[in-house]
Amino acid sequence: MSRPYFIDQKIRDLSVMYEIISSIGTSLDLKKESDNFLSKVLKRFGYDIGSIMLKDNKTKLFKFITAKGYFKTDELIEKEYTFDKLGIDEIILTKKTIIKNQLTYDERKLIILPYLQDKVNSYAFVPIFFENELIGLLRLFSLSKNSFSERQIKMIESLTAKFAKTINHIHIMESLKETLNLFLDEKEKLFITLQSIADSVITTDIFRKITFINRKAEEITGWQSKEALGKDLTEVFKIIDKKNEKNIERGFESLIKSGEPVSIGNNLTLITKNKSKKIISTGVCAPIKNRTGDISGTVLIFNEIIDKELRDSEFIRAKKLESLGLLAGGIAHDFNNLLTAILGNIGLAMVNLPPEHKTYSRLKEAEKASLKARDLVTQLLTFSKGGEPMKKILSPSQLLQDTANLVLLGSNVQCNFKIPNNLWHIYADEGQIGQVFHNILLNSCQAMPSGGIIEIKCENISLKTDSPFPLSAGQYVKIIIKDTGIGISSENLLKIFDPYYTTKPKGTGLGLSIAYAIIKKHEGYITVNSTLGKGTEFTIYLPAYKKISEEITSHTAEQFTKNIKKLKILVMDDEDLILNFIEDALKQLGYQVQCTKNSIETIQAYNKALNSGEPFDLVILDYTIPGEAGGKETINKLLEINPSLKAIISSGYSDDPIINEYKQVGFKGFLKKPYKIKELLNTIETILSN
Amino acid sequence: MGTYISTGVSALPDPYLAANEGIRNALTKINPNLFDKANKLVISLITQEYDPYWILKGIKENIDTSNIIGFTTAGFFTNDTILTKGVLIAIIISDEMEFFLNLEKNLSKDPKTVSYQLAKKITEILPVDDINALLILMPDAISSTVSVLVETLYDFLGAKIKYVGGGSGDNLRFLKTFQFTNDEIASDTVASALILTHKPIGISVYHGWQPISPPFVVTKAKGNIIYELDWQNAFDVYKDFIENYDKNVINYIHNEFAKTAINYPLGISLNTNSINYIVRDLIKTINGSLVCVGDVPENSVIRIMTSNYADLISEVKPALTYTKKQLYNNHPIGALVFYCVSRYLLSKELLLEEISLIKEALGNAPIIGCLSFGEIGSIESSIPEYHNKSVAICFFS
Repeated sequence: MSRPYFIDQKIRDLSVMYEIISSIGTSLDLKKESDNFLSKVLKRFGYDIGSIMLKDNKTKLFKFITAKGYFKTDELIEKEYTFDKLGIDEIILTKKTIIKNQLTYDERKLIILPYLQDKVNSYAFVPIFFENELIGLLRLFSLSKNSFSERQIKMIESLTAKFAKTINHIHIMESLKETLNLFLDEKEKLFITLQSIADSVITTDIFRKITFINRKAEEITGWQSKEALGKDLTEVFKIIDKKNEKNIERGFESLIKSGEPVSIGNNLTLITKNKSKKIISTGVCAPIKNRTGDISGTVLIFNEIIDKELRDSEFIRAKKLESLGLLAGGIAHDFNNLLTAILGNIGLAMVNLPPEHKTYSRLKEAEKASLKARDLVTQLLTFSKGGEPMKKILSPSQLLQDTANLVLLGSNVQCNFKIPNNLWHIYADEGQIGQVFHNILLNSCQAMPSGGIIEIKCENISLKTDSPFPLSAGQYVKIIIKDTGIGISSENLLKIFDPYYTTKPKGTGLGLSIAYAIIKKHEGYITVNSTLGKGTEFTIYLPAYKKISEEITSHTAEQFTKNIKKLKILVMDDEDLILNFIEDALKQLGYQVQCTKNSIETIQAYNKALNSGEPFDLVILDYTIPGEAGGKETINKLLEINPSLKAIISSGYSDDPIINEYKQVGFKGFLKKPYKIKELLNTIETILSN
Repeated sequence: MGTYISTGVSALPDPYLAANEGIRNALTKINPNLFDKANKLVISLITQEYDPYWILKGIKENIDTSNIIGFTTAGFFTNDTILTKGVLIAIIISDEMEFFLNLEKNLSKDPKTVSYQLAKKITEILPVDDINALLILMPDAISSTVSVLVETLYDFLGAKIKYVGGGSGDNLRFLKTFQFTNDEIASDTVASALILTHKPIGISVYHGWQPISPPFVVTKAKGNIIYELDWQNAFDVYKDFIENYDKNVINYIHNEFAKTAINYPLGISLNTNSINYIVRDLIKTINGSLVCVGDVPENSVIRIMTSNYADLISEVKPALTYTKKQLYNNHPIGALVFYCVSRYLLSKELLLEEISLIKEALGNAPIIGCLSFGEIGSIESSIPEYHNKSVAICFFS
């Protein structure tokens, strides 16, 4: 079959051009793109060896990006252009393609690689230009002579021009990528900074849609970033007027108009996502301007008042209660003496009068008033130091249910309990905590004159050092008492724990302030949230008492390894729970233990043991036995029996003078309730070893 | 002493006995006194019926060397024998040549990395000073990754080496093939032998296929599969042309594709300087695609080829002349020939005539001929490629 040569040639040329042009620009990877281009040029033009050098944008030096057909090609590329810069200088000078179709001896010597000096018979170096700037060099070698025709070189130059454009695109893309990475780095830094700062920050676009909310703002508003983004600012940052509780929209519109930062005011009430209220202060809204000075959004900075004002108001309230306590403590003794005299004289006067005498009824009224005055003194003493709690281990669950049954008896208010079975115990004064529950439940009941529901919810909670409450880290029992009553205005809400503040016509204004004082004395915290017309929610945090059984087990195991003699210990405490726990713990550790519940039993037991010739080695006495002689009195009698007595006093009264005076009284050691097994054992061992 | 090449064949059905017979036949043609001082390379070509383990055992019992290389082929030939069932054992014994054997595994899994590993090993062996180097490649052709192998090796080893080889195949049944060196026998590998010598080596590839169709752009392809030609279903384009060109194939191109395609391979223009083509055999069609033996680059331009006896034979003499020319004034002492099995299937007489032409060029030097599944080498002075329907010739001097 005859084959017209010129058609064949044309087909071959077009095929080669089509294939190579189609393959240019198929990768955004400079190395891959160059590899591909060089490979195609070598194959389709029939050359044996080739390389591409490109100018480094930073160093302006020409470096090998790819090479093919050399021996140990990969190693040569690593050495970069130092191994062979053949042709570069000439092309930089002339900016024209160099073609050598037959090499002279001198020209061969210019080829640095020895094994190529004899093999290469022709070469062409094609400059790679982009917009008249030399950006690279395509070097092609052939083992045959006369391999580079003018036609082929023109084709290659045409392909190289297209390749140069792709190189430029890749450089632009790389530069954009670098810029984007820098931008992302900066964005990340800014994000971390905004997330880390202590202020709350929210940013919006010019349409008031939220574009960013930091962690602190999430915490205060209750809105998570993913929920808040894209929402209208007023939906997330909802502030209301304290007096009429109407929504306020501050700052945004005027800011957008003026372009100047605006204050959004102080002491504003923020409605959080779960509808609770928080007081915020020092809010500022500032414009975010772009490079051209146009406003592209806003940034809102604010703080929760708890950091400042709420803590201030807590401090003021504590001071008020302290003053009241000092006053009550100071006058209570004299006032009670006076009341005793008044009541005594009233009683004496009534004895001498027949009940039908009209003065009798007057005296009866005077007696009632005096008794009320005595109750009032008792209540006021709660604020004084003299009214320290008499703590014991108790279940808040039972206490809550008992108190609620008593308060709600005969009312049309229903009480729902949500209390888990594993609720921790608390170490508290039963009477005082009962009074707290009583006062709150009574308030709730009175807030629902037409009836309603009180919800009591308890849970175990562990607080860390960074909790928003003025509480130390540890385990707490959280108690929520929530009613569906009339609610309390935000203005009144700040005052409800103040003594003598009341909105009720017949209220004393002491109920909630007493509750506050009691909880404070128990190292707990009480807080309130309320919405007018919807109801009020009190939340109480009380320190939980650690699990006794767990402690015994862990410390028993530790102590069993020690060689303990069978020493005898006498323990006096009015609380069965404590006696049981100490007895179990000490017996397991090898001690002989006897328990007593009051001073008389203790002295009797001590005497009996002494007389039997097996005296107690140690006595542990509770400081307070209600209605009877406590530890202080008991030790006096025991010391009379045995002056070398070894005794430990235990007390739950945190600020009792006994803490500093126990040695003067005759005790060898002191245990502050609640104590851990380890503390008990350490104290016992220290004393017995001395 | 110099270099001596001899061959021995056996068609005994037992592989161990066949190996024994083959190598003894080869050994009888070499002076035994030469053995002690010389380097030895044993090339073993076996057809698919033979277990390489027993072949190696048989060889080792007769010759003391650790340079044994071989693979499964569709058949083989020597100066006077053509067999499609049997064993050919060739011995090269020389004090001028050094042999380095290698077997790289997992060729189909990551051909680029495997090829690079082989290239690195060769760069560690090959001295930088001027020496002739020949790399004989025996890859598993069923892995369809030979194109990548050849391209990667050339990229990293370059023109310092000459390349020749053929694909391990099994007479178009496409079952499992074996490649082996010394004690290692495996599939999906490339067995290679690097020969270093100060004597020149001649290489050439020829085929004689001519384009009959207009050019078609390969608009969609991956590896060795062409999905589209001229933005149309590849098989439809191919079929339309063939049916129009050869009315005889209309009835069976669908059912017996391989039988039709054996006469109408594809050709990729070698380069702008050459009127030659790289031929691609078509082995099957899957869902409208055309599956080739070697890779076809996307956006390349192909033409449908055909040939006849005269055209095929016409290329032999120029190729032999070109090969011999590379030996300068040295006489050829033997030839290693990789001859495409489909070319043999087209015409056995053609092979006989080509053997006779090769013998003429060689004098009475031995021919180690292999019926291969694709051939590796350079047409004229081009970069080495993986070819089909071609003949790759290597002359030793």
